[in-house]
Amino acid sequence: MGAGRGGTNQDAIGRVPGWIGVGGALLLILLPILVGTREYLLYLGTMALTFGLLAESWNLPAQAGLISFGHAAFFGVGAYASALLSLRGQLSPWVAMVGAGLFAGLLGLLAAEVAGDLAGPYFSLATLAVAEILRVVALHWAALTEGAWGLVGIPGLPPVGLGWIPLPVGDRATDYYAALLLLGVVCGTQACVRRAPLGLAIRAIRQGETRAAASGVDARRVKRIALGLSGLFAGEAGALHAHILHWVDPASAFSPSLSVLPLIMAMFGGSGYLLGPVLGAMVLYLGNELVLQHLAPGAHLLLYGGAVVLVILALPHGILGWIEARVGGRRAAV
Amino acid sequence: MLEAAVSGLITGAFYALLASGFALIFGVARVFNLAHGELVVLGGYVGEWLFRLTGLSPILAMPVAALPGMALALGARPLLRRVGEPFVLRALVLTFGASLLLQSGLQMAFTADFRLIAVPAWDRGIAFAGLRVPTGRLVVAGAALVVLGLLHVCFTRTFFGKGLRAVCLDREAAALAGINPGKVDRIALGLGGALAGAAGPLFAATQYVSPSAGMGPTLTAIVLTIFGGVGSMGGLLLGGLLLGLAEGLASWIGGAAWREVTSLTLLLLLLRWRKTGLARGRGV
Repeated sequence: MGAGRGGTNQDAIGRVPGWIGVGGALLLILLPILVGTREYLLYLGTMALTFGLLAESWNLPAQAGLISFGHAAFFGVGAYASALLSLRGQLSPWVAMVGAGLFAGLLGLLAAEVAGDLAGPYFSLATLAVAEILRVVALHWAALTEGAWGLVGIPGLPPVGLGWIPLPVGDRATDYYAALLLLGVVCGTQACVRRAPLGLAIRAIRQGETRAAASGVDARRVKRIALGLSGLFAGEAGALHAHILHWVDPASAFSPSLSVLPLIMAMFGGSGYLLGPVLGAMVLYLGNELVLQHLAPGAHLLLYGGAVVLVILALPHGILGWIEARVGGRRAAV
Repeated sequence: MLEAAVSGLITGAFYALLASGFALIFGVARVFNLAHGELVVLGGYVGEWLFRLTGLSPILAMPVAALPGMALALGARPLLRRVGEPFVLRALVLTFGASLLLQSGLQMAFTADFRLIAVPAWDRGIAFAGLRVPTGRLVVAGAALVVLGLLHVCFTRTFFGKGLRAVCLDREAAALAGINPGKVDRIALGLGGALAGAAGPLFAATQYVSPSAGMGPTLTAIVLTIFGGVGSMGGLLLGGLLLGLAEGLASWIGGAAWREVTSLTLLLLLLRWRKTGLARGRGV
């Protein structure tokens, strides 16, 4: 397999044929109708979309070479902020979610100040430390967070009336479309960024920060934007999670696995592709919940660990990179 | 408070041993081994198993516990050779995946139960200048100091050790001077894995181990390596003692919960302080 063919080299932006994206989006929009009354499937779909949102948010700074090991920090802060705003602040969950996203976005800006200028692996270690510190703080700042008990009774997302669109209604369907909408927004944002000069600047930084700076790229500013947006969307994923489950505690909201999963999912699907992280999230999360749980419960570590090792050693551009190389190779042969 | 400080210092010597294998592998092979803690835990389980079966002291179990760590680290070498650029970052992610796989393997082999090597004689305290220190902690610190001393002699007095430090400093220059970096890589990985495994029985003798207990030792090793640099046992020991002291005082002031926050905050400060990395002249 020729690496470098069909745009699979490191610096290219991956592209998937448009019809796959459109077909996937249609399928996702119609899914609640297709699964009908099987609420559990709809719940799984919602969670898969939430993880897709988290993985996409992780991928934004990753394009600039900032590999975060601490996205649980944004997820947890978003979850707690939205829970507290709707519980103590008596705000509508929709308004609370907006506030939570802004709050987590501010944390992203802060992370850019604290760790943005650290080189590769040192940035990763710093984010790991930040997420763990926040987890311990959430555990022990009981006046705000109720400590290990967590916050319970978080209101769910109230259904929004859209009389003229015949979509299924119900709590689960509302959650599902909220997740899908946010996922659409994060993908749309990234699509715009890729086409804008900002996207060029982000890729230039990954290829070499000194060289990028020499060509007039303000690396600090670009990293601030990438981490701020990333924090915002990861915070929305956390807020969604809190309103879907009606409950949040430090162990689940700041779980180290939330730092790890977006990284694994994005790299597995194809970090260089717009839809790679979503695809990775769908395959790994649904593969775990629908297949692996029944065959070998508790083997999820094996799945995620194996996926990482496979990607690093055999699929450096993820599933989408592999598909593109295959398709490209066949076309070249014809 | 003095007791907290002394106990922290004693723990610190063990921390330096925990970090020695990590620092060696990072210094020579440029791999941030996030599976380091899992190798320690694996060694701990081996030590606990030997102790339960034969009553073998954790000190004597160290050479046996070193073997699986060494085998795994050496087995990872052909995989690491396949890792593409940027190497340090991708190797970090790879060892991270390895740590998940190891955790899963540990859970299958030893179940998720918490295990401890409880040597009865180690529980008795020794009174010293008005302080009471448990014998076991002193034995552990003593064993750690002995191993660190041996490593120090090996690194500074032998031809092999000098070659190893030369590769740490500058790979290309060492190769030009006739040192085979590939061979040094193999030795460093094997020795580093063995040191991680050997620290295991001591780890399991001082605290409960479980398949997910590896995060703590890994973080400690990262903090000390960034503080003390690579290839210097003295730097690791100083870092270990300072970290142990800081953690001891923090848990005395604020309770055990703040122990972890202390080492994490120190990690952040160290990263800010040594912004561009460890040894001079090594681009990461």
